[in-house]
Formats: sequence, structure tokens, C-alpha cells
Amino acid sequence: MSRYCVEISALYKTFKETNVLAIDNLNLNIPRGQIVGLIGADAAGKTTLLRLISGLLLPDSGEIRTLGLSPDRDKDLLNTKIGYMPQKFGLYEDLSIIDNLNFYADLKDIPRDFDKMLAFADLKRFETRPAGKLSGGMKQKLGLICALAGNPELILLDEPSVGVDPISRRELLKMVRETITDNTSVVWSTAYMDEAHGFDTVIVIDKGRVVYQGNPYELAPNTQEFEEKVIELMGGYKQEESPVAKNYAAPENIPDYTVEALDLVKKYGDFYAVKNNTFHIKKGEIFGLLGPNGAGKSTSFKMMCGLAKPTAGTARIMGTDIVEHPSRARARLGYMAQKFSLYQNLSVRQNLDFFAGAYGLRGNEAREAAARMVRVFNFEKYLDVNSGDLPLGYKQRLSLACALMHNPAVLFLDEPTSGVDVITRREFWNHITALAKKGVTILVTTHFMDEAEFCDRISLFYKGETIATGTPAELKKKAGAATMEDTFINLILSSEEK
Amino acid sequence: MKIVLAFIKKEFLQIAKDPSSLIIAFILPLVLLYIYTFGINLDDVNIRLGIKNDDAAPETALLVESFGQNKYISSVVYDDKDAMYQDIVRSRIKGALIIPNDFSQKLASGQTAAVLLITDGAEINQVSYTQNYVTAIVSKWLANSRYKESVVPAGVAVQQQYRYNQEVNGVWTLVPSSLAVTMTLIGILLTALVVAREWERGTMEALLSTHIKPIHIVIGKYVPYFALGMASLAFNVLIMIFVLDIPFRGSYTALFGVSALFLFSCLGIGLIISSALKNQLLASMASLVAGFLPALMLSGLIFPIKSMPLFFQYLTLLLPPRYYVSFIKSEFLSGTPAAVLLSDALYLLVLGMLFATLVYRKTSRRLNA
Repeated sequence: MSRYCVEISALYKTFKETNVLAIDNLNLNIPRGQIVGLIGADAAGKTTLLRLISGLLLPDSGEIRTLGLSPDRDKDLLNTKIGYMPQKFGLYEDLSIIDNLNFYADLKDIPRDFDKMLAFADLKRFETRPAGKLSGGMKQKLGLICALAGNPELILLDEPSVGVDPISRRELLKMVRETITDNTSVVWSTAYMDEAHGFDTVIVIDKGRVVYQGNPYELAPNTQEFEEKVIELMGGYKQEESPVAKNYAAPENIPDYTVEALDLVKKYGDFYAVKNNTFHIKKGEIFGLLGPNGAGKSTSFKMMCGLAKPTAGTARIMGTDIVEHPSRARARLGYMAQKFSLYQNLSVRQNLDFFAGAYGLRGNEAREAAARMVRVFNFEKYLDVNSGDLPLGYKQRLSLACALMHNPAVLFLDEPTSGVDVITRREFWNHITALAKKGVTILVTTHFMDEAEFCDRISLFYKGETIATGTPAELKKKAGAATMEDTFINLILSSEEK
Repeated sequence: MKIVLAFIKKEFLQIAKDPSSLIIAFILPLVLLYIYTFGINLDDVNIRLGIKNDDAAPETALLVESFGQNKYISSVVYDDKDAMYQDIVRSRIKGALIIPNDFSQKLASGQTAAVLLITDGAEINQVSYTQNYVTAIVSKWLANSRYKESVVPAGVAVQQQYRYNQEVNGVWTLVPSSLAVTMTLIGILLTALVVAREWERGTMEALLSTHIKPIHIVIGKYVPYFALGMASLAFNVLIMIFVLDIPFRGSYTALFGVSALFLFSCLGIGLIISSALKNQLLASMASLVAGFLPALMLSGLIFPIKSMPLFFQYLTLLLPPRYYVSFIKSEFLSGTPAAVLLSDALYLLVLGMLFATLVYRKTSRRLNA
């Protein structure tokens, strides 16, 4: 038996429709019996590589052997030996957890014995709940159980932890570690550098080629330096003055407290999604909302920007009551939704023009705003490209551009960097911090703990309630932890004990 | 085998948990049956006709009166011509009949006399009905009037006899033919969504890396929707025969046998659309165009195939509803002769097999091959 679970030489793959060279002369041997992290910029070819390894795609040319088999000719046999979890995992949303599991067990011809895994993932008590009604973290755990079932020799996981909170992420990793044997190989693609740093081996891919393979500790001893090294490998990032902030013209008469939540409550039936939420956010502050999936962050967020009606309480944006005057309050803020919510089949130019109009800009004012955004975000090259076809990094820029067109004094960002690569995130935060310095108040939700460190103040959410508020340093001290991630976990665990 | 069973079971679970498929299979047919029975009537039975009589002769008064006694026409008598024209414009009456003042005089002197009938040319069907009714009423009146001597009697009298549908009751053929629409909805609309849904939600990518083979997916998609379609068929036939009292003079074996073949071919079309488009919205639009509209318009259900332009007549040969509608009409009214039954069944079987082969070939084991 070969030392390697995957052997690839001189691999090429082009996508015919877009004529994009996704894999460009890639050579790679992945060792057996390890957890291997796969990292790289967006569109670097990670997903394509995993699909080529599993035989879901066929290469243009080059040699690929997975577990000694050809993914082309021996796909049926190979399928029995691998567990694959695609990025958009295939759960049947209308079927219950247990129906989903039994179905995959029958397809893989393995016993329907999931009690241990379900208990381990803390899903046992939700067994009969439809998969569509689970939180993001729970869905990922369920998908992982399906992929792990039947002890496959090779497990391919395509960003299983994207959009998942730190606690659930640790649980995902623990589930994998406890299930696999010494001979199991795992290939795990991820955008979280802290996660990648903990793996046995990392492979860094850039523009369809392997640019690094080796032990992450050899690359850098800690996560922070590791991230710098990875960024360097991916072509580097040079911090420049943010042109976005430079061109930002702040409105006049901004009150000291720009965003205030006053006893906000949201109830669905008997269930409190948000309980008595109160905070006062100062002008120019970056305020982070953190918490596990389903803790009520998004609900609070939507209530504060007037997208959801509070059951009780209210919020004020720049002193305007959001319940009494929702549209007047909304006109003063910019909102960037969690999912890419621009018109995918309109071009960049058309999206900008539309949002200029939607934010009430007319005539010259609208044209100038659109032209300014094109200039500061370097959209010239993409003006006539449909926004759905943009590279992910540009999609994020376009979303931010649309939210900023009317020079709002308050910016709401709901998981703006979810699924975005490390360089794009750097660039994004460069804009955010620079905007805050110019007096823009920013509310942001995130699952990246390193991003939490960029916030002036953080509010930690759990089960609809704020369990801690303070600067990152204050929270770390309170939790007695060195890193933000440990702080997050400790504070939630201690709240659970109470 | 175990895999196919697991897949079929999963499909049934999804059908059971998704009310829309059950609504399409059982509630929608009820609505269709209701509309076909009470809502649509291709035979226009009650036409409001305005009449202005300019002839003072007592005989013409009898003519006006005989319009009042006809069950297909309700007449309104006008004194003012302009008022009558206005009511045509306002659609209060569907036609206008003017009896000129020299009508009886001409008849008495043995000349040809004319009445003026004005109808709304936008309603083609109604025009011909109105024309026929009016001609019939006038001829009947003429035959009994005192002018009957002065006009030459027709040498030939036509006696009409309707076979199979003695009452010429449109409901008897229209309602059974609605089965074609129901079965198309289940066969094409419902299945057009199911494969596309697997692609959209990413379940296909997960499926393709398990032990499943394309043949399992194909069988697993055909069987549940076939069962659902047949259940809906039985439900529909029960309602038609026992609730709506539609006479059934054919054989149940033939009815269910040919319906099964028709459903098989429809499922094929639906699955081809679904596997090719991989997008639920597109697939549902395509299934309307490829399934629902032909079943309604190119099947002989509403528009007779014989009166279509030649191109469309040939086009219908490729579409399953054509064979099914003609079969279902004759099966209900009289029973279909064996030769016709076999040829319809054979066509449907061939189309069904052809589609099934295409479905199998379209079901890939990889993402875009």
C-alpha cells in the first residue's frame, strides 16, 4: 500500500463555460493517516481539487490516483471508500435528522447505528426535527455524520466550518478526531487559519497550483504568524490607506450615541429569540455582536435596522425611533446582508445605479455616487460583468459599495466575511477600521475570532440574551483566557452552568 | 436493490411531507373536474338576442314570439334601433335581429325575403351558434306559416342522429379528457421539480459520492411518482363515475393500462426537463410549455386536431396527450376497438421507452461531464 492516499501529477482542469483554468499543472501527494488542511484564496481551486479527487469531475489531462484507484474508471469502487461532504451539503431539508441518516446509511450499505454519533454531536434530542429547521452549526454536524458514516478510508470535507461558531467548530473537529482510525486520511478545506494551524499537514493552493505543503508549525509557531505566512504565499497583502474612507463624506449633526437598543424583545410564539436587549453605541465605534449560531444575533440585528418588528422595546438610529419612523431611520444606515443580496443578473454598473436610486439619490448626485464607488473599489474592469459572475472578493466589495453609496453614518454588516479568503478579509477590515476613524458607527457580526479583536466593544450573545459586553481586553480578563476563542467558549460555558 | 428501495422510501417521505405534491395529485383534479363540469360549456345554450320588428303583419309577430319560446335563445324586443345597437356595444345582448318592413309583403308576393342578423365577430363560436339557431327558428316558422305554399319546399330533409353521446352532452367527453391534464400535471410538473431540486440543494453532489448508480436514481424517481399518478387516476375515475355520473362503457383494464403507459411517457418528459435544466424555476416554466399547454391545446381536448394547420397536426404525433385524449374519450363513451387501443398503447409505450432512455443517459454520475 502506498504511503499516499492521493497522488496527483501534472493535473489540468479548465471549465468550458467560463474558460477558466482552475487547476494548472498541479502536482501533489497527500500522505495517508493524517488530517490535512487545504487552504487558499477564493477561486484558488480548492473545491475543484476535492471534486477531482472524488471523481465528481474529470481532469483535462494529468494523472490522479485516489486510494490507488482511478477516479475515472473505478468511480463505483472508489465511492465505497470515501466520505465526501460538499460545501453546500446535501441534506434533505424536509426530512428529519434520523430519516436523513437512515437514507445515507442505506445508500452506503452500512448499519443504521447512529446513536453514538448523535449523542456526541448533541443532536439526539432533535432526532425527529426536519433538517431544514436546524441551526447552521447543527446542519454542518449532521452533514459531517453522513460523511463519516461507515468509516471511509478517505474523508473529503469542503469547508465544513464555514459560517459556524467557534464552539460548534471545535465540536466538528472533535467528531472527526474521535471517529477516525490511524489509517483514515482526512482532507479538510477551510478559510479559518486557526483551524488550519492545528492540522497535521497544510497544503496551500494558489491559482490552481500547490504553493506550500508541510507541517503548519514549521511554517509558523502561532496562528497570527501562520496567517502572515499564508498571506505571503498567496501573493501578499500591502496595507494602503483605504480609498473608501478617504472618499467618505460624513453627514453633519451626528449625535454622540448613534445606535441605541432599548429593551428589544422578539418572541416567536412562546420562544424568546431575543430577550431585553439594551445597548448604547457611540459615534465611530466598531461594535461586534458575537455568539453561537441561533443565539439571536441576526434577529437583534434585523430589529435594529428595521427589517424585523420588535415584539417589545425599540431602537434608535441617530436619534430616530425605528418603530415609529422605520423608513426615516433606515435612510440613515447602510446594510450589508449575510447572503450576497445584490441582483446577480444585473451588471456591476446596473447594481450601483439601482442602489443609488434605492437610497434616494437622484440625477447628478446618483451619478457621482456611482462613479465614486467605481473609482475607490476599482470596478472599471468589471463594470459590465453580471454581479453573479464576479469573483467572491469583488462581490463583497460590491455589497459594501452599495451599502456606502449614500454616505451613511451607521453601517450594519451581517457576517460580511463569511466564506471569504484571508486576503480579502484583510482588505475589508482595512476599509472598516478606516471608516470608523472617520466617524462611521459600525455594527458587525462575525464568527472569526481574530476579527473580534478589531472591534472596540463586543457584545456576546447566548440564547437571546447578552451575557457579556466590553472591550476585547475586558472580556478576555473576565473569562481568564488568553485568546478570543477561549474567551468566547469560557463565557458561554459559564453562562450555561448558571 | 436495497439502495433503490431506500431511495424510493425517501421520495415517498418527501412526497408525504410536502403538501404541494398531494395538492397537485388530489385537490387540483377536484378543482379541474368542477370547472369542466360546471364552468366550461362549449355548447352555447343561452344567447340573448335583441329583436326589432319593423313589419306590422300579424304573421311576423308570431315569428317574434317563436324566438321567445326557444330554449337556446332568450329574446329581448326593442322598439328603438339605436337603443339596440347600444346594447350590443355594451354586451348586454349578443346579437340583433331586424325584420324589415317589407318582409311579409315580399314573402306574400313570392319573392325572397331577408332578415338582418348582426353578431359580434370577436366571438367566433357564438356567431356560428347564433346563426344556426336563428336559421332554424326562421325555417320552422316559415314551414308553419301561411307563406309555406309560396316558397319552394326543400327536396331533402336532414335527420340527425348522434351516436355514442346521444344527448350531445359535452361534459361526457370533456370531463374524462381532463384526466389527460391531471396526469400531465403529476407526470411532468411534479417530476420536473424533483431532480432539479436535488441539484439546487446540493443533495445530488452528496448522492453522487455514495454507492448510488444512475440506474438507481432513475428507478427511484420513476416509481414513487408513478404510484402517485396511478392513485390520483383511481381517485379521479371514482369521482367521475360515482359522483358526476359520467357513463363509462369501456373496460377498466384498458383504461388503467393505457393510462399507465401515458403516465410513463409523461414522467419521462418531466425527468428529462429536470435533469437537463437543474433549476426548479426554469424546469417548472419548461414543463408548462412542454407539458401542460400541449395537453390542453394540442391534444384534441379543446381544439380538434383535424382543424389545426398541417404542421401542428404532425407535431401532435410526437406528443403523448394526443393518443391519450382520443383513447380516453372513446373508452368512456363506447369502449375502444382493439386495433385502435393497441396502436395508441404501442405509440405511448414507444414514446415512454424513448424518454426513459434519454432520462437514463441524462442522469450523470459526475458534475457537468
